[in-house]
Amino acid sequence: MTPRGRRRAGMVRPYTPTGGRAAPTRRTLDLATLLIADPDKPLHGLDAHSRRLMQHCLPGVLSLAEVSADLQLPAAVTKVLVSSLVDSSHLVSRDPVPAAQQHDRQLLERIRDALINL
Amino acid sequence: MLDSLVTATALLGGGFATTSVGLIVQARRKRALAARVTPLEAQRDSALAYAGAMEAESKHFAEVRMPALVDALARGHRGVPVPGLSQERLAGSPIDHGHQTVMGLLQEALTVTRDQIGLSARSSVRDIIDEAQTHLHRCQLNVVEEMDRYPQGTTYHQSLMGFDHLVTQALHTLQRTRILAGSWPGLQRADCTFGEVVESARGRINAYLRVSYTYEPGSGETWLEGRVVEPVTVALTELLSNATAYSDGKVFVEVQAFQTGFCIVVDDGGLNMNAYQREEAARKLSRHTVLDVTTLQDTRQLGFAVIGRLAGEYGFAADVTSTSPYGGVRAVLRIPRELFGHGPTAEETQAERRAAASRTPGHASASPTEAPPEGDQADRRGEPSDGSVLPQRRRRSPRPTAPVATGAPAPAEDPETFTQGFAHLAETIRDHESSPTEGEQFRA
Repeated sequence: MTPRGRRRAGMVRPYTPTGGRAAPTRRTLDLATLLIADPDKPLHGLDAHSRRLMQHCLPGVLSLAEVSADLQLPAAVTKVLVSSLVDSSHLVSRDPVPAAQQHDRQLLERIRDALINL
Repeated sequence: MLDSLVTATALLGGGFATTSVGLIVQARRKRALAARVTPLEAQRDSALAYAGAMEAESKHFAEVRMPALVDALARGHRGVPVPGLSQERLAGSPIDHGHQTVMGLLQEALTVTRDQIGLSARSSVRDIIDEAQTHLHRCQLNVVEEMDRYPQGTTYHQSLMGFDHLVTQALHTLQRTRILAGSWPGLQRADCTFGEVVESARGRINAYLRVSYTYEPGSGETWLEGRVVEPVTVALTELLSNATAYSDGKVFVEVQAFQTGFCIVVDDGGLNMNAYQREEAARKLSRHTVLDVTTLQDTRQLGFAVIGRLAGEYGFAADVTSTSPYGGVRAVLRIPRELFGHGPTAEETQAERRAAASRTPGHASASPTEAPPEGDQADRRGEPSDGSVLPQRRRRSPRPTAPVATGAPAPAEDPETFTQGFAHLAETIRDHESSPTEGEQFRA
């Protein structure tokens, strides 16, 4: 919220947690994808960010966007981490309720109206 | 007749007496004069000898002592002895004092000149670095913004990461230079965890993939005060860069707790240092003074000097004299508890999360265009083309408030929309607040 948080954001560069990988192993993840952690999986052997990610998700369901903000990492980088955690079945991903539909419709209608007005 | 004889005798007698008295007086004066001449001659001789000694001494001063002093002080030649007086008898004389005063003045003049040149050189170095650092920092911000624009990982992200790594390394080079020039690291962070510090330092070196950090939640999630985050990170980066440069295997990093603080331990399996190198390293690490840029010996070995300077300034300690279990060097950064921080408050974390959650629908509405990134790019490229006319400004302003606008008919009734709007407002304020700290008044 404060600029303090902002200045913490650039601290860890995006390539560090993923070891320079930019492409996730699966392309089904979205910002609104919900992540559920498996509490039975051991956390040992995970790297710092994966472990923090798991700890954030363990208490309940979080969206990928929220996790990304918690880790102060860009969404694309979080996806790389999440997808490898899903691969190792530490996490279960679930598609969100499609809430974006009506937004789209309204936006399209407004654009149409504006075009007609022109 | 008798009278005349008596008179003559008396006259003669008187004349004789007078003459003899005069002679006696003269003889005495002569003797006195002779007695005065001898010491005067001796005095003259000694005065001549003294003058000769002074002449010789002045010559010695101008031709031997001063050049030796200039060689030793100004030219910095090592092992040049500055000779003393050539004439022993002049020791403690006014001329000796005079020479010593001149030599002292020369020394003072040199120190003052050097200090002034050093000061102005350092301040201009700092100014130049400030500017370059700002640009590189903005470059880093832009990389993250660009990554956020397309949440799907692509080859584009891969090349962005490559650029980011290079920019980050360049930024570190600038930071160490300005630290050597007597400045602070040039960046103030919020409180960060030890885990973040290690990960950040790892990302600043070339061979970061060889660094293996054993993360423990106890130590890794401890907060470090924002004021010392950058100094500790820069010092750790120097240690990691040393460790990876002198070994070709893995470098292991651990954060260990001890009674009065934490140790960041860096172990490598490379070449160990000999006793002489250890001593030299310890000397550099304990030197807390600002380095004189004009007397730097080897510009390739500044790492320890950087760490020593930071450690002295911010109150942590570094040690590289022990051997790692893998046969290489064990480098340790000791951070006392006084430098630990509190981290963001629960409110701040909550607000951050809310801001992120409110960002989600915005992105979700953009998701149809995000699937083919080329399409999105084309869309963006389309913006500036009609950006010369007014409609572009109309489009930009509703965009961030778009999710709020959907709930605009009844904003007061819907608390969730209200919170979303608030989070958006917070985000906008934060963006605006952070941009002037980068030294730019407007956003690109």
